[in-house]
Amino acid sequence: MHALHEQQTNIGFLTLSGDLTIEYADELKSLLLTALSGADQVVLDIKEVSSCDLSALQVFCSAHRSALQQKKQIALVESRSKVFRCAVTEAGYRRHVGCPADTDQSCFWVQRFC
Amino acid sequence: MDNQMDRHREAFREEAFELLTELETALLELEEMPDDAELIGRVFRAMHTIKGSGAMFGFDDISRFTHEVETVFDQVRNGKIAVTKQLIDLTLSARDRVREMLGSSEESSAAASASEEIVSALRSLISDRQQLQAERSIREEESEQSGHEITYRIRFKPSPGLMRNGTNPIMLLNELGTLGRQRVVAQKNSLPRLEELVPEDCCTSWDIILTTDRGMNAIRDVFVFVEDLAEISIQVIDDCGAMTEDGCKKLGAILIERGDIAEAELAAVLPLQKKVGELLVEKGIVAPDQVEAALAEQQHIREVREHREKTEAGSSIRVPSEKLDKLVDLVGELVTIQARLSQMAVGRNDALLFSITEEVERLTAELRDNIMNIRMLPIGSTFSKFRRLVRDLSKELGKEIEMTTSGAETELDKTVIDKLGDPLVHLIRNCIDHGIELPDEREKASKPGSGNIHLSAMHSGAYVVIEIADDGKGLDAEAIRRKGIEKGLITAEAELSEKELYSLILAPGFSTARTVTNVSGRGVGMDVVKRAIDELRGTIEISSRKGQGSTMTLKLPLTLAIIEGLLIRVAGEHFVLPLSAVLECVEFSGTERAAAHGRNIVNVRGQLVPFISLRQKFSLGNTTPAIEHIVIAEISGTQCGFVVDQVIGEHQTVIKSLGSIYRSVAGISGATILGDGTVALILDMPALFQMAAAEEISS
Repeated sequence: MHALHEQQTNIGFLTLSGDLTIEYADELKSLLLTALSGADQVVLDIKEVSSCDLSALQVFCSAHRSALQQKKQIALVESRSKVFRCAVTEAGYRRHVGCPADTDQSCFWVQRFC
Repeated sequence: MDNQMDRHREAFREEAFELLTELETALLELEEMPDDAELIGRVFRAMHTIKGSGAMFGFDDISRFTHEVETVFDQVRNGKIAVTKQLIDLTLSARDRVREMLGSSEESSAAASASEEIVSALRSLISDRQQLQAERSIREEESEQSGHEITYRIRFKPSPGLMRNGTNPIMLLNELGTLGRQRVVAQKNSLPRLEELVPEDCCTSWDIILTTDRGMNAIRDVFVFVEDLAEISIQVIDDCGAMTEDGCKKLGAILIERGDIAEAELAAVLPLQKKVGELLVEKGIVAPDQVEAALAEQQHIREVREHREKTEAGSSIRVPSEKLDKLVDLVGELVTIQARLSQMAVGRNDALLFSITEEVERLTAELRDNIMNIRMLPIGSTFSKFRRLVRDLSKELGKEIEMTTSGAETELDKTVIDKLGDPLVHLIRNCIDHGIELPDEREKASKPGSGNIHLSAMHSGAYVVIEIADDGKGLDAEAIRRKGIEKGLITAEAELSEKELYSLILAPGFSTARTVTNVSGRGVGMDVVKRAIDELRGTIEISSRKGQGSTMTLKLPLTLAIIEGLLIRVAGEHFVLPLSAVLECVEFSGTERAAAHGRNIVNVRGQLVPFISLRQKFSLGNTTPAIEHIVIAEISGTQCGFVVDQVIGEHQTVIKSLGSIYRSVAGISGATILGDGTVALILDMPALFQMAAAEEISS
C-alpha cells in the first residue's frame, strides 16, 4: 500500500494505491486517524487501489462513523474503482439506506456502488 | 411392457420433431444474430434434450450423433469458437439427419456415412483439446443437476480472530456463491468507531440467503475450516413449494423468525401504519442492517418463487389429437341436442323448463368455446418452417430474399394449421420464383437488391386473415388476360375488374411462366392452393401492383368443426350457407323476375348480379312463392346470388361429413343436424358457382 497525505487549509486529501489488505490494516487506520484529526473534511482517493479486503472496508466504515460523531466529513472519490466495488458487493456491504448515524447521507455503501 | 416402451418412444419422437423445429428456428435466427447468447443457449438446450431423451428411449444412434453437435455448441456457448455460416450449414444438415433418423427404424450404410461426414466436419471445427474440455464440462453439468432447489438462510458470525489466522471471509462468501444464487448482507452493528477499532479483528457478521440444489452438506463443507471460529446456523426457508405458507413472508414475520425482535414489539408498532422496517429502526428495536438483511431475504424468496411459478406455468400435458377430435365430436352432438331441447322448450311453454334450457344453452356454448380453444395453436410454428424454405430456395435461385413475419401468435384450429402448410408452401414458392426478381434486375428497377416476403396473420371476427406479400415485380395483368383468352377461360371481349383478372391464375392449368422450373411454373400450384383453401372453407384474394409486388390474402375460419352458417329454406328443405362469404340478403319479387327475361341475372342497386335458383338446381317443388329471397355471396371476387324461399337466420353449424356415397356430390360440402332432428345440407357455394358458370359457357 502506498499513501499520500496532503493538507490544504481545512481539507485533507488522502490518496491510496496498491493493496488495501489486512497486512496494511493498522497503517490504514493510523493514516485515517491522522487525516481526520488534522482536518474537518477528508477526501479519500482510492482509484489506484489494486486489491481490497474486508479489513479495509471495516476501517472505512469505522472512519465514517468517527467522522460523523466528530461532525466532520469524509468522502470517497473514484469509488467506481472496479476492485473496490467488487469487494463491497461480495462482502455484502451494499445498502439501500445508511445507518442511523448517517445523518448527512454520506454512507459509502449506499447504492451508488451498484 | 413393450407396448409401454413403444408409447414412450412415440412420445419422444413427437417431442423430438418439435425440438427440431425449434432448433431450426433458433439456428436461422442465429445466422442473422451470431452473437446472441440466448439463441446459442436455445440451440444447445434443444440438442441436449434430444440427446438425453434419445438415450433414455433407446435411440442410441441419435443420442451419439447429437452429442457431437452439442459438444461443438458448448464451445460456442463458452465463446471458444464463433458462429459461422459453415457452422450453421453443418448444424442444419445435422438437424435434417436427426429428422431422418427419427423417421427410419434402421439406418442404411449410406445414411450412416452421411452422419459420419457431418460429424467429422463438425469435429474439424474444434481442436482436440477443446473437445476434451467440452465433454468434461457437459458431463459435470449433467451430474450436478440432481435434486431440487432449496432456499437456505445462513447466519455466519465469525469470532474476531477469524482474519488473523489467514481466513479471508470474502473468499468464503464467494465460494458459497458458487453453489447457487445468493444474497449477502453484512451486519456491521458491532463495528466500533475508528479509535477503538482493532483493524485485524473481524467485526462483521453475515446473513446469507442461498438458493441451491446442492444440499445442506455442500454448504457445511464451505465452512468446514472455520467451524471453530464462527457461529454458523443454516435454516431451510423455502423448500421448492414443500413449505405451505401462502405467498412471501412479511418483513415483521421474518424478523421475529430470526429472533431479531419479539412478537410483542412488532405488535406495538404495527398500529402506527408506517413501513415496519422504518418504524423498528426509529424505535431502536433493530439495526438498519438487520432490516436490510430481512428485506434481502424477502426479495430473494419472492424471486425464487416467481421463477418457480414461471417454470411450473409452462408445464403442459401432451394429448393425442384424436382424443381432442373425439371431444369436439361429442361437443358437436351436445350442441345439436341442445338446439333440439331449446326448440322443444319453446313449444312447451313451461317457464321452468325454459330456464333450465337457457342454462344448458349457456353452458354448452361455454364448453364449445373452451374445447375449440384447446385445439387452437399459434400459427408461428408454421411460419418458422418457411424460413428454411425461403433460405434454401433463394440460395438455389441466386436471389436474395428476406422473410419477415408478424402476428405469429395468432391462433388457429390445429386441423386448419395442418392443412394450411401445403398451400402456403406453394404461395411462398411462387413469390420466390415468379415474384421476386434477381438482385441486378431489382437494382435496375431502383429497388434494394434483397427482396422481402412478409407473412402476416391476424384475427378478424371468427376468421383469420393470412397475408403473403412480396415486393417483387407484381402480376402482369395483360399477360394474364392473354393467357386467359388463350386457355378459353374468358372471351376476348370480357371486361374484368383487376380482382377478377387476377383470380384467373387460380384456374386449373393456368401458368404464365415461360419456362418451367423445378420450383414452379407447371400450372399446378395455384389451382391446388385454391382447392385446399376452398376445402378449409376459406377464400383467397389477390392484389398486385406492377413493379411493386403482390399480396395474397387468405381468409380462413378459426375452426372446421363448427361454423357460422346462414340457415335457409327452399320448398320445405333446409340448407346452410357458410356465413363467411355471404354479403347480404335481398328480396326477389315476381316483377324483378319478369324484368330478368328468363336470364338468371338480377339488378341490385344498379349492379347486375348473376344468380342460381336452388329450387331449379336441386329440382325442389314446383310452386314458386310470390316473394323469394336472394342471398348474395362473394365468390372469388365476383358476386353471385342464391335464390331461396326463406332466410331463417344465423345458425351455429356443427359440420358432419357425408357418407361415402354422397361424398362426391358436387355442390355439397357436408351436412348438419338441426334442432328438430332433420338434416340440412351445407352448400359448397364456390362449386355451385363454377358449375353454373360452366353450364352457361357450354350453352
